Amino acid sequence: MNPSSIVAAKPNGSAVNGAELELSGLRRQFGGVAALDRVDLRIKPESLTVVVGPSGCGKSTLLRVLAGLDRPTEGRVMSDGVDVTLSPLGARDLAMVFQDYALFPHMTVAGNISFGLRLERRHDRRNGPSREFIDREVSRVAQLLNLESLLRRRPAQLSGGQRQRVALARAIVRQPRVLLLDEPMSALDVGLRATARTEILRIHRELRSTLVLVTHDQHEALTMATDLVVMDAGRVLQAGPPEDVYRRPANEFVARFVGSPAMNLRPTDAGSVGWRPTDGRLYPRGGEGDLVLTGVVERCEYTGSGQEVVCRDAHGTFTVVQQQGEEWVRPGDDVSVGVRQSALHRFDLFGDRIDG
Amino acid sequence: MHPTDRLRPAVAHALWHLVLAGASLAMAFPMLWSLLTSFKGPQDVFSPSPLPWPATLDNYAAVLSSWPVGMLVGNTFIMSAGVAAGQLVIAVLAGFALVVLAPRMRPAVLSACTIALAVPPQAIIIPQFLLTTRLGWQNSELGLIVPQLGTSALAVLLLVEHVAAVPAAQIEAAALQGARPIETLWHVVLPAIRPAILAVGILVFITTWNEYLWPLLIAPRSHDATVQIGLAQFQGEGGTDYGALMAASVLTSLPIVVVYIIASRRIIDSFIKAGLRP
Repeated sequence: MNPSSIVAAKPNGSAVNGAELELSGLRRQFGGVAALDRVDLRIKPESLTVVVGPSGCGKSTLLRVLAGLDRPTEGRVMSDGVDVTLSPLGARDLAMVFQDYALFPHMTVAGNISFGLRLERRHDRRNGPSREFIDREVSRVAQLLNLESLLRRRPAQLSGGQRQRVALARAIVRQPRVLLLDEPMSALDVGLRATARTEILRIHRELRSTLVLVTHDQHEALTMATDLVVMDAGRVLQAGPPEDVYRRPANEFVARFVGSPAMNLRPTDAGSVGWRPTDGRLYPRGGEGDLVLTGVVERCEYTGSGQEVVCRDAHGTFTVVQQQGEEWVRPGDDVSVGVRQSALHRFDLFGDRIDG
Repeated sequence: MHPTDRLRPAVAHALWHLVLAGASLAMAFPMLWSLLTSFKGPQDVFSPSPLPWPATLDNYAAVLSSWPVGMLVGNTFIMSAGVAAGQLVIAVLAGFALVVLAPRMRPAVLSACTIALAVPPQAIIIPQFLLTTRLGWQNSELGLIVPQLGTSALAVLLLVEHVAAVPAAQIEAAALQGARPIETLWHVVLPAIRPAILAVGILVFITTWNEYLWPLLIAPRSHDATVQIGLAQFQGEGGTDYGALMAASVLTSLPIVVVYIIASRRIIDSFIKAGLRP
């Protein structure tokens, strides 16, 4: 067996496969507020599903209901066709990485990683994992996440990135069929996030579990997800591959939330029309395109690969991205922006997408 | 910067130390006085001079020959340790139950505990005595310990807050890893609240050590009695033998002093971490 492989044979010899999760009619009420409001969602087996939305949109509640840490007020959670809505914690073959990692501070790194396996052994001396198996699994995941030299340390003696890797190791050592990650990058320095993303993607590839990751960072969501779920106010607004969500946002909220800089929107008689800042082209007055707007350049933000030009017109501001070499505008210039028909997104008066 | 500004912290510091030293002296004075008196002969007990001169060990000889020091200290230790251990078990289990298992019960139970604190022990001591004697527990460790577990309200109130301070995510993480509630309590909650447990344990131990009324009722015979009952025997109808009383007090407080000296650093640490004053 490849020693760096994350998938060791389980005691019964079967390889791990991610479970399929299905949420139907899910509702979770806190007092008078619905944190989840009629959520229907299918999470494909072995997908990396990223749930994204602003603070308070219900994404964390969704994760807690999936984990079994929270009971839905209504609705069901199915795992591979089995209703697990009310099944006890620990009986679901899933693991979770908490936002602040929730490592046990008085245990060593090795103790933290082996905690679940040691419990399994205590609960079932005959069929549970052997001491040798536990040692082997701990050193396997420690090697995988580059923690071998830290096994005897305590969490207080670790850096943020190391703590996160310990939390990941603790979650994957039992090879769960579902791995839940609650804002795993939010406590890390910006510099460490790229590394952490790579680590999570590698774990997903090798573990072949179903990963559900919650974040408020749309960039993280777009780059990592195989399936993207956008939530707001307790509802799922759109679910699908990230390219679909980006290219064909289902409504104005998704259009504005996904993509950076955010999509420009202008009201029309029938609702609104939007275009991505990268799809507009600037002209010195009188431009070409199916939509032409005029405005005054308010500020230019240099991005290295070009600049983001923020213009003001009667309805507010809109943004246009200029590539390197075409940064000719300056603040105060009168400009026009032209957008091709194919790059326009139209929404009706309710904010829902029109057309095909 | 004005030149006195730099002096001010130093002056304030010195003043504070003076105040604290004075307070310490005031607290140490009774103990110091009894220590000195225990070396005085019967004719000098009431002399205004604090120094025992001529010094004598007669008081100690008398106490050790006629008074069951070892027995009394042993009895008191077993009672205090038993009550402290029992109250801790109750308080830890209650804290875990009220924070993790049945959080909805917490306000009601804590209110009940607060009300229980307001009930004077004298008010319930007669039914408690009758019940204990009917169980046949008089003159026994059971009779000394078990009824005193009924007053765990303070320990519960103190420990519940510390259990609540354990991050919920750690408790949830343990449960997700397959830990049963009792395993979560043992492996995650207990290590986190260890300083508080030690602090509350010491608090209960000392309170029980000084308990007078209940031991007097339930175990008045000298060989079952506790230190406080034994000490009272020096205050008889024929007057009080102060020299012997002080010598006995010094002898019986020695075990606690020794324990404190050995473990003082850990004890102080626990009280600081637990946010409690002894």
